[in-house]
Amino acid sequence: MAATSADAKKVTLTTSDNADLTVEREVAERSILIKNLLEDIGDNGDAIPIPNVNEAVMKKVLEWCEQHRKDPPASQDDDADSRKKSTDIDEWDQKFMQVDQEMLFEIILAANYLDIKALLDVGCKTVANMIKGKSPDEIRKTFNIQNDFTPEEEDQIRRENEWAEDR
Amino acid sequence: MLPIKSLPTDIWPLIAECLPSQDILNICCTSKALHQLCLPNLYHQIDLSHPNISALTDKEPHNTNPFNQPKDSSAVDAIRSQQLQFMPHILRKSPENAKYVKSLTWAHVTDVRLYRPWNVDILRTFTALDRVRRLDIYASKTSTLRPNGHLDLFPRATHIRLAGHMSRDWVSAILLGREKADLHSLILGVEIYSSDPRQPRSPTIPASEVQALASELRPRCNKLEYLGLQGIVQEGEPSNKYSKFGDWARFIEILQPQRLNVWCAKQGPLEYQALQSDQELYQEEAREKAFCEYIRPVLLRGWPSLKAIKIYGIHAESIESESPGGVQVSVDDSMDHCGRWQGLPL
Repeated sequence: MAATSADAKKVTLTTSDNADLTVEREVAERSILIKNLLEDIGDNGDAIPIPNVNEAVMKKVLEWCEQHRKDPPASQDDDADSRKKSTDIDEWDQKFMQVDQEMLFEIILAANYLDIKALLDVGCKTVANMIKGKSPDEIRKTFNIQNDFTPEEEDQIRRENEWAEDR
Repeated sequence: MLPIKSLPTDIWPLIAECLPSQDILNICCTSKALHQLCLPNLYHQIDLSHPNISALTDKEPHNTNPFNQPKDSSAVDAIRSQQLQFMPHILRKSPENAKYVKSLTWAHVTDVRLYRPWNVDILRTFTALDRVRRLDIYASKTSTLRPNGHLDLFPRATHIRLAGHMSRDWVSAILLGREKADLHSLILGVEIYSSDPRQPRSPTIPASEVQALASELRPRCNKLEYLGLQGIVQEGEPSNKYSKFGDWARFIEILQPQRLNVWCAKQGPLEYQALQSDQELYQEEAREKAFCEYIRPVLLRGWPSLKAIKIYGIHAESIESESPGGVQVSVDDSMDHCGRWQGLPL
C-alpha cells in the first residue's frame, strides 16, 4: 500500500440520494468495499458512487469509521465458527448504537454492503441484545416476523431441541 | 404497511451466532424461514458441561471408586439429562445436524445406572461429530469410558483441551491418528491413566508413554501456536509429586509451541488447600527444585519458534533474565490461577 502522504488524502463518496460526502481516505478505507474500489480504479479524484446507502446512514457509518480509524484490521483467519459467543459491546459503540430500530437496521445493512466487519459485528450484537431473554412471540413482535407455524409444529421444535433449553 | 424495514435473511445467522442456545432456539421457533436459517447456529457450539464441573465431581481427593457418585448431583444430573436428550437426537432422529457442530464442550461424568449404554452412545456421538474444530472435554475421576485402540475421534479439531482424568486410549483416540488437522492450540490438564484393564488404575502413565505421546503428536504440531500444561503434578505421595516434571519438559521440547503456559501446581483447588497446611514449605521447595532441574533448562535453551512463556506457581525469577532474546517471559508464583481452568485461546 502506498504510504505517500496518505493521511492527508481525501475521497468523495456519492450516496444514493446524490449527496457528496468528503472524508479522509483512511477513514473511508475502513470499508473493505471502498478500499478495494480505490485500489482497483486508482485514486483519480472522482467521486465514488455508493448507490445502496443514503446520506443519513452514510454519515452515521462514517462517524463510526472516524472513531475506529486506528483499529487494527480484523485478522483474516478469524473463524466465525469458533468465535466466542458474546454480546459485549464497548461503551462508545453502545452509545453510537442508541438509534431507532430502523436506523439500526440500516446501519447493519450498510455495514454488510460496505464490508465493514467490525461495525457489522457491533450491529448484530446490538440486535442480539434485543433478542436475549425474549419469547418467540416477543421476537416476532419486535422484528415483524409472520408466524407460519402451527402450535403443534412449534411445540415439536421445542421438544426436539430440549437439550438447548436453559438448565 | 410495514412500519419497520425488516432485516435481510442472511443477517440472522450472524445475530444468532452471538447468542446462547436458549435464545437461538427461541429464534428458530418464530417462523419456518428463521428455523431453517438459524438451526445450524443452534448446533455450532454445543456446551453440555458446567463451569465448575471439576469442583463438583472431584471433591474427594482420592476418590477413585467409579461407583461413587458426585457430591452435588443436581447440577451434574442436569448436564447428564441434557446429554441424554442430545445424543439420541444426533444418533437417530436428526443425524444430519451433526455436521453443523464446530465446537463441543462436554463433561463426562459416569452414572452407574446408565453405565453401559451410556458409554456406547457417547463414543458413537463423538464419532458422529467429526466436523468439530474446537474441542473441550472434561472427564471426571469416576468416568469409565474406555474406547478401544482403533477409534479415531475429532479428526478436524484444531483447538483441543483435555481435562480431568482419561485413559491413554481415550487421549490417543482424540489426539493421535493419521490425517488429522494441524493443531493450533492444545491444553492438557488431564491425568492420563494406563488403558490396560488388568492394571490397577494408576493416576498417571509412565514416563516412556508421555514421550511416546509427544512423538506421535509431533506431526500435528508443526504450527502449534499454544501449549498449556495444567495437570503435570502427580497425585499421591508428596515426595513423588513433581517426579513427572522431567517427562513434561521433554514433552514441551518435542512439541515446540510458539507460546507456552505451564501451571506447576496441581490444577484443582485441592492442592491449593493442601498447600496451606504443614506441607506447604516442603512442597514449595520440592516444586521449585523440580522445576529448576527439569523444566527450566529446556526453556532457557528455547527453540526458534518460541515467542512467549508464562509460568504459574513458581518463583524462579532468574528465568526472566536468562531466557533467550526475544522471548517474553512472565512468572507468577501466586496460586490464584491454579484453581481455575483457563479457556482455550481462539
